[in-house]
Amino acid sequence: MGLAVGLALLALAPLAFGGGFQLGLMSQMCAMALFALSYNLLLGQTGMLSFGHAVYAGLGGYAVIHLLRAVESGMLVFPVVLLPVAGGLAGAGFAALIGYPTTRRGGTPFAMISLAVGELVHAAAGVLPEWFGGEGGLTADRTAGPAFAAGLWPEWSLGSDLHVYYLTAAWTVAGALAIHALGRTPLLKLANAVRDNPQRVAFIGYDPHRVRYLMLTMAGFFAGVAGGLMALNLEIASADSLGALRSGAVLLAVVVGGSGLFLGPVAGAVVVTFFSVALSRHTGAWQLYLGLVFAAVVLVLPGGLAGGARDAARLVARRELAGWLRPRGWAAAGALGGCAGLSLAIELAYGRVHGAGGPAAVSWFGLTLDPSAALPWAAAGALLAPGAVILFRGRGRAAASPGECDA
Amino acid sequence: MHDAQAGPGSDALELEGVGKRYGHVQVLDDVTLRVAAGEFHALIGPNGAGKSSLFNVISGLTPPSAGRVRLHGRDVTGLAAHRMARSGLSRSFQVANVFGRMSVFDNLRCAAMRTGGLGYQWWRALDRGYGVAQRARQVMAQLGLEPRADRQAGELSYAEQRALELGMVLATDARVVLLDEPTAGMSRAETTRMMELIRDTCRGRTVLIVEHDMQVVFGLSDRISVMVQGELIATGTPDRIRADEAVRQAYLGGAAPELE
Repeated sequence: MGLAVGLALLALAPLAFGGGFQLGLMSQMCAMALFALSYNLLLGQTGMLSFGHAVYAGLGGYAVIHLLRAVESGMLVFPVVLLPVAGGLAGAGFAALIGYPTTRRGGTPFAMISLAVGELVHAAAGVLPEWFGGEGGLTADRTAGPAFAAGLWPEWSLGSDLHVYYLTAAWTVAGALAIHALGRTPLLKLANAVRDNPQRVAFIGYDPHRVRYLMLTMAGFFAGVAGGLMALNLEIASADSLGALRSGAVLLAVVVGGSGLFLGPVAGAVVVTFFSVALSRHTGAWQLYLGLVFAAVVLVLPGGLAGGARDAARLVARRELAGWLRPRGWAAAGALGGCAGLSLAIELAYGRVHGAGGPAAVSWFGLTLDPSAALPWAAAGALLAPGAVILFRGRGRAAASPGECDA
Repeated sequence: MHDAQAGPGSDALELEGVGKRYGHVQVLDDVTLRVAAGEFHALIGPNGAGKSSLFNVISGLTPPSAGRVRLHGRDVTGLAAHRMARSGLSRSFQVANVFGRMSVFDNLRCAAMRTGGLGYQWWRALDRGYGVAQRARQVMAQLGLEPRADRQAGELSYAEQRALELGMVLATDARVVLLDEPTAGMSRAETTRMMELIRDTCRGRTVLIVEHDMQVVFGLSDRISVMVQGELIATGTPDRIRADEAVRQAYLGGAAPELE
């Protein structure tokens, strides 16, 4: 049922958002969603915090670009739609190669080693320009070969954004279903057990090291598929796709979305991609907003967006939503006012710093404001200060009320 | 069955001169002990005597510094914990040690998987065949945990978590079972119930148990070993231990009123 709705949404979305930019954004969201799901195999399922997950996606992307270049030069005949599988094999292959020593320990040792491996591969990419393309990365033409096989559906060229979107969405759905199906296997049960208590796993006859190793290889495969999709979208693989920034982005997506529910990482990927692609067109300070959202989610919604949505759904099911909201109405209003004031102040400050030398006009929700004038700053203060006061007073009141929700 | 292979009345667990030292501290010193197949054997001694250290060595958590450990005649000295578990040995811990965010049913299914012949498979579903679910349900029924099947293990009461832990030991089908203070922190009534559970469910298995409740120990055990400062000072039937002068002197403070 949920699956049918999701498939319909993905299939029909291009009717509503058919522009080139929107299709590109949705393709990126899909690929990021699969990337985040692969990361959650480590973080949510096995309790492995990785700071270097981009390595597997990035190498998957490079594998796809290299194969695409081989197709382009006529050395290889390969249906382009199947290239993401090669990306997955590259990701899994590298994970299988490097994972055995790195997964000996879980917890902090694994996190530190994953960071080191990430930096190592990122640095290696700079040293080996003939493999990784150096500064500019490697480019390829995704229309170089037949999309399927020679002669089959020649009108599918993958040149159009729409075709790439459907390709990305199809692989994302396939990958998500596969990850979901994994949840019922003995390995995933053992992964959950390792997450909760690795020592106890040994005493029921399984090696936690081996469980972590296999899970890293699994996660590497799906990350490689996602990285391959990203590379097909952008027709480029660059060293940035291996770096710590990308690893941080996927961690952010999973934490914001919530690692405890299957669709949490998907929600997080959509939000993070929206912020980094769509919002970056409107404001240069988008990373600051992303950071604020991250901090707010960690503080207010420990279960992430998906955990918050589940709790809200429970309240609705028990018909307690109104009772829960009433004492928090003022807090919500305060939060809204405070956010508006904060965003105005951020935009003004940003305009002031980056508009040096001229009277930079700052646009904010359709208004054009002068960051050197006093009035916009006063307005920001007028929104921010009372908003903050109401928010914290409202919070105190809500916490003191006896009808506190325990979900 | 292992018993049949090794011959009736043979030793299930055999310790020979087992020692463990951390730096200059000798935690275990020349521990030699034979536990016969099917025996209910208690290990008693004051706090810090080295009982848990001995369990850690036997179960493969830490390797011994000296001596040999044999399981059904097979040398298993220094094997990693998961390989020890596969050799047919299982243990419980002093503190509740379960998979807190998994359901009670899944805790037991994980424990029963090895017996069901399952490894680290990722290409087939767990819920088909292998008798794993059946075994988990059977253990839940034995322990009275059926109403809690879908609850997260971390949400159970303390006594229920201890019962679940015993269940995870049982679900592994291990022939040799080490129980480290299974009734620690329990009320009198809970202790009695727990010991009845252990007696009923471990029938036919070899049990080595650390327990402080002397009434329970002397009532249930076939034999008792007394450990003081890393050494076994006596091993024998409850009657012999009760009468043993060295035990009275070293551990029970001469008079030993709780033994009368």
